[in-house]
Amino acid sequence: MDSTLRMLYHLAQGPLVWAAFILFWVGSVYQVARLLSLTRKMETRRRGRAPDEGPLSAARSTDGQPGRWSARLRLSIAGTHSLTIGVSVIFHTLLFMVPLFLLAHNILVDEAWGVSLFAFREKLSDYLTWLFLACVLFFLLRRILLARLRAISSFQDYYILFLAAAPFASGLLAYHQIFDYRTMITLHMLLGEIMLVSIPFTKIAHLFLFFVLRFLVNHEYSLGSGRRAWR
Amino acid sequence: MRKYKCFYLPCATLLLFVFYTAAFCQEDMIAVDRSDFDHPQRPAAIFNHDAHNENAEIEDCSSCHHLYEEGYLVQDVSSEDQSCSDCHTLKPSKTTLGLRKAFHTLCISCHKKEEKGPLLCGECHLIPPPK
Repeated sequence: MDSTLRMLYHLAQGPLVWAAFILFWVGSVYQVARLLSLTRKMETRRRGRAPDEGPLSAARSTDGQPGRWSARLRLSIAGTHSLTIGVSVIFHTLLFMVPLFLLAHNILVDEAWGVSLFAFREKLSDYLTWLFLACVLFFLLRRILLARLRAISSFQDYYILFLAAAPFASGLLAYHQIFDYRTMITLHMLLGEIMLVSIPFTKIAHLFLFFVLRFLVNHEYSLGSGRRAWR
Repeated sequence: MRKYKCFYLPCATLLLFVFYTAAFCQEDMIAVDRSDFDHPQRPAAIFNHDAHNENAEIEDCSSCHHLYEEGYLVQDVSSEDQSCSDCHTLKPSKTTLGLRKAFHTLCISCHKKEEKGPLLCGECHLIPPPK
């Protein structure tokens, strides 16, 4: 290993990991606090679990009657864009599942702290990574090819897709030892750290803001009994 | 058949020589034996026994071929006559590391301590594996 790569490797596997985790947590807490400060607790709660307007209201009016859930599903985005939602569910599941249950990651954690999770066989993780990258390609092509999506796409939309895909792609190349292995594994760690730091400060913040918005704030897409409103 | 009789003895001698060589001369070890794993996940880790020990200046066999009894290291006793998997079964027990962790710990802990030798997965589990 030449000296620059060695230095990068030692940085990536040591101090930068902690820096990334600290920035991720501090950033996340700050963003949740900021969102909460933009909303206020409503003085009087509306009757019922959700507002009366919005695309789901037709289904909601059949509360308590048979077919309520199927009607809700049909009118929701899962009904209107089934393929995209299907790919999205696979994408988000794999995004968490593959790194969490990857054998090599678990061996490293076990070496460091003596604890580990259940791990997939490496061949399965390999296939799942390909599947994940196929989902990324689907989102990328969708964003490029659909005019209505292209119109509202900015650089950040492509950047966050890159951030999600890059640790997977570099991990895959490192696993198969395509290109220089040491460079690739160092790049893999750095890209993972960049992704972690970027979560609170980019649109990937939907990782936690999704829950705050959908469950706390009262609007037409509320999932829970939203008790907060925008200031 | 009778006219080939003169070849019997030389052929028998040759066969004996070939099988004797195969049976009694151990080949140089170039990779860790992974035949005990039911589902090996990676190519066998590269490990050229003689070259490694010469390079690392390891003369005491028991530094790797250790022997533990009831969880305690037996000093100055080596265990080359045993296979690693005799003690380190695939599943760990209360006192013994599982086979995979035993291999990893033995190699990596020393490489870390000495600040020499590979630490990354793919530095030992090479693709393509050593032949």
